[in-house]
Amino acid sequence: MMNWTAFVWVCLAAVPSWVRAAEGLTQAQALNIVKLVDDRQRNSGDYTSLAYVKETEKKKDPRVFQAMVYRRDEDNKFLILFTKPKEEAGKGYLKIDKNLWMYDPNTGKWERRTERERIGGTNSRREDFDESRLTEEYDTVYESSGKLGSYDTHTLKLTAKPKVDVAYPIIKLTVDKKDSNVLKRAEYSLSGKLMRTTYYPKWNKKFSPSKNADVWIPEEMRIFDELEKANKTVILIKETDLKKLDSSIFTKAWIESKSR
Amino acid sequence: MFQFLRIAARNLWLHQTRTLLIGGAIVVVTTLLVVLLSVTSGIQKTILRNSTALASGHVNIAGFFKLSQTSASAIVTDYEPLLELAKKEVPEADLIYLRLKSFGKIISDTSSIMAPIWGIDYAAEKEILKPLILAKKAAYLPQFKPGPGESETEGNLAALAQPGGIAVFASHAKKLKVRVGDTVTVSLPTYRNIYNTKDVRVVAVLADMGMMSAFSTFMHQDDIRTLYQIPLKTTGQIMISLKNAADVPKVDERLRKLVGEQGHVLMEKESQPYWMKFDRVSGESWTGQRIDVTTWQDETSYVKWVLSLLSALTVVFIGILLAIVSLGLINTLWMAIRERTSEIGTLRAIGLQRGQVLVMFLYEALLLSIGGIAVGILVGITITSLINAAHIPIQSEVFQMFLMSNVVELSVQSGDLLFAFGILSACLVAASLYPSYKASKMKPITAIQAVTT
Repeated sequence: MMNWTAFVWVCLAAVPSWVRAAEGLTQAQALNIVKLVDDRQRNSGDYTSLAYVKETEKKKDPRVFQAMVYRRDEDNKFLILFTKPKEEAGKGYLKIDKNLWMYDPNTGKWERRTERERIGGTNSRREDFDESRLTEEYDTVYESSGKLGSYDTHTLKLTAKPKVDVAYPIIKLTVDKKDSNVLKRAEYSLSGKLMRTTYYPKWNKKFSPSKNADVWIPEEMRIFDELEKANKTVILIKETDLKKLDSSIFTKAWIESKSR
Repeated sequence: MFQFLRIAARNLWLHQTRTLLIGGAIVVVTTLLVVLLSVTSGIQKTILRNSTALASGHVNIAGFFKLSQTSASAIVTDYEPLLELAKKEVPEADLIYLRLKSFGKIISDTSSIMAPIWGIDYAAEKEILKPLILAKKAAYLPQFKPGPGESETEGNLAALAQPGGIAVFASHAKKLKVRVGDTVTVSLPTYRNIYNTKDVRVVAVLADMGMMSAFSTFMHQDDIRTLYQIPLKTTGQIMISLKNAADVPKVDERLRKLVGEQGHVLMEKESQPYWMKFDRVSGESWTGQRIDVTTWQDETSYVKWVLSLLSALTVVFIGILLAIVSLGLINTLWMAIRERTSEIGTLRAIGLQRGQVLVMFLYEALLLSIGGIAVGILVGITITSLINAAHIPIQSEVFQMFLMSNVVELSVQSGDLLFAFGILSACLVAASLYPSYKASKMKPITAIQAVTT
């Protein structure tokens, strides 16, 4: 039989883990956070923004691109039109249904590209500019609570659902405890190696007429290549507009006309 | 006729300086042509040897599988019936083996490269891989100086018989700043386009084989299978090594026909390596499996420009030299005719026909040309043999890329020698026709007048 001293020690030892459990999240709470992340970014209508992409690679001069991003989320249409620098201006990526097309104004030709296309040759992918679909694509489990800088955070582990094709099968999402905004997204390969970490230091809230509610838009994304440590990409999203767009924008003809 | 030959030979002997000058020029041009042709043949031979060691069988049964309209994987699903077909229908085969192929990023602590990575079965294709030799450490380790008793090379390609390793070429190792024993990360998307990685150890650094080795690295088949998430019934390509490379066209044609008859959808014949077809295939709207029967020439078509450029340079260079030598020969004959005007006049006066005068001068040109060409061929063969025996290393990376090898390798082919002989004799005889014709047209009275004056 356990004596009283031993019992007290066991109880004292159990307190921190009991406190941690209280700080943690249930499965339902973790799932709700991911749903909230998706929902906050979901616009359901049209979207326009001006994006600046700065690509820094080891032993190379940084490259800066400027592009217009257009989305029609309800039809799953997506368009990126490069406007700067001069040699990239007129290049466009158009996603209609499941097909991603790239237009090269130098050759005047359209080419079908893979979903994993590095946009403009940078470390950014189409998904970085697109609507969040985490709930549809991943299963969520709570992993831990902690701090990221001065923020109190929850970290959730997302694993790709079977037969869903995503670039990164494991994601660790670090969200602000206070407002559930995503602060950090760590993406892992199938073998479990950390591939890319993205930080979201600024979020912008905008009223969406189509949703009739606020939409949260990441104003800045800092993407770090974890395999090639010196490579990073900074994306700034400016001049976001959620007004309805003309349907003709999401056509090859429109991009060609803008590229002339 | 023999008399004319004697006259021609005597005349060449009498004018030794002139004969030596123009004959020497013919020797030089012939030697250059033989050496240049042996460079082209050497490159062709090297391409065949390198391509079959690096990236292709003589004939391959390969293909693409498209899971969706926007993806493409260079794999052959359910390959066993095709392997059986190759075993049964290609009696010319010396060895039939399987390779997996992928295209990924190899990342070291300091740098990265994008490169095709072959998944090999070392035991099955040991003989095929024989031309791959270890690089000297100095080729990829700057400042390397071997210590006493230290080996100039390191690693062992045979270590790829076990998973967990990668063999790269010296140019890759230099760029990645790695050596044998270092760990690199291989990152590539699976055939379902999901990113995957594996840490592997460099087990061998191989001597560069020119431009072609820049597009090859090797790993164990199981590692590529795991990285690419390929099921066991799937392979990259079935590679057929033939006993005689000359059988390639007929085996290619037969296999295309038989594969089609087996009910597979065949890709259109396109002379490109598989990695150059990716973008086009990714952009096509079909899905499922399509089979591509390719040859070693298709898989190395990206180096064809080297041979075309070299052939063009040979034609231009030899053309210029031939023009100079032909003008020299014409001049020599003009001088001979001028000096022998009296002889022509006398011979014509005693009944020699015009045609016989023409033949007399043609023989002189022919003797000079054939003699010069024969000596030139012998000199050319000697020079190429000496160069091959010397194993001259190519220091310049540009020339290594261009000549597909890190040592100078020339190959003298009998066909090339016949070509050199034929083209030079024809040109030189054609050049001598006009002066000989002019000599034959000379009137006896003109020749006699030349004697009296």
